[in-house]
Amino acid sequence: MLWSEVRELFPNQYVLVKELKSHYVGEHTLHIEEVALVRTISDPHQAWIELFSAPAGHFVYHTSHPEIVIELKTKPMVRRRSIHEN
Amino acid sequence: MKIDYRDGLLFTSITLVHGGHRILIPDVVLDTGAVHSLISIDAVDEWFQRYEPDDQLIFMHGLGGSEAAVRRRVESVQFDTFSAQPFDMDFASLREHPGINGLIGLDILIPGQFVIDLKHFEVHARYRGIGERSQ
Repeated sequence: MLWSEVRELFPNQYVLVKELKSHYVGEHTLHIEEVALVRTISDPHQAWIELFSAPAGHFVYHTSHPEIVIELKTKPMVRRRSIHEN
Repeated sequence: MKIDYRDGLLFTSITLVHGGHRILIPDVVLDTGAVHSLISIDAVDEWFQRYEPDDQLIFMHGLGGSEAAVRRRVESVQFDTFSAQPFDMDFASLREHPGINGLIGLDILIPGQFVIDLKHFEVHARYRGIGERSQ
């Protein structure tokens, strides 16, 4: 489903979606055009929890945004000394 | 301010002001390898419980695949002598790194002109004392 269609059907709320079609804008930005709707989420607290527990390829977004634009970055790499190391 | 050298990392603390709350976050790591500072969502769980429509979604890639993070504008951030109002801070799950509540990256260390003294384990703004660079 196009994002514009999701916005029309479910205005001004959070939706859990699966990414279907996207393209890079430069090196560090992803523009997602098509998604599969999993479900709507009315509670912003639930949306916050589901955002950080969504399975791979899924994410939570608010339909007030005319486009899905996501910044890409690398995960933090903290290399702590092991507790078994001297 | 003093740095706590522990588990091979440099631990300190940072303060966020958000929603009228002043939130002191201990156990954050000084990280000159990080572009953006980052705070664990669990460290701010008491005050950050809602996904805000203005939150900027970020995908973080790396070992284990992609994970969501959020960039949120907070009222202010304070670290030693550095203070910025407002400040765009990244928030993510750091459950893979227990005991670490966040990273202080170059988006704070450079504008704050910080010097990390690894002899005395202190961080302070600008050069001072012996060895001070002439302008």
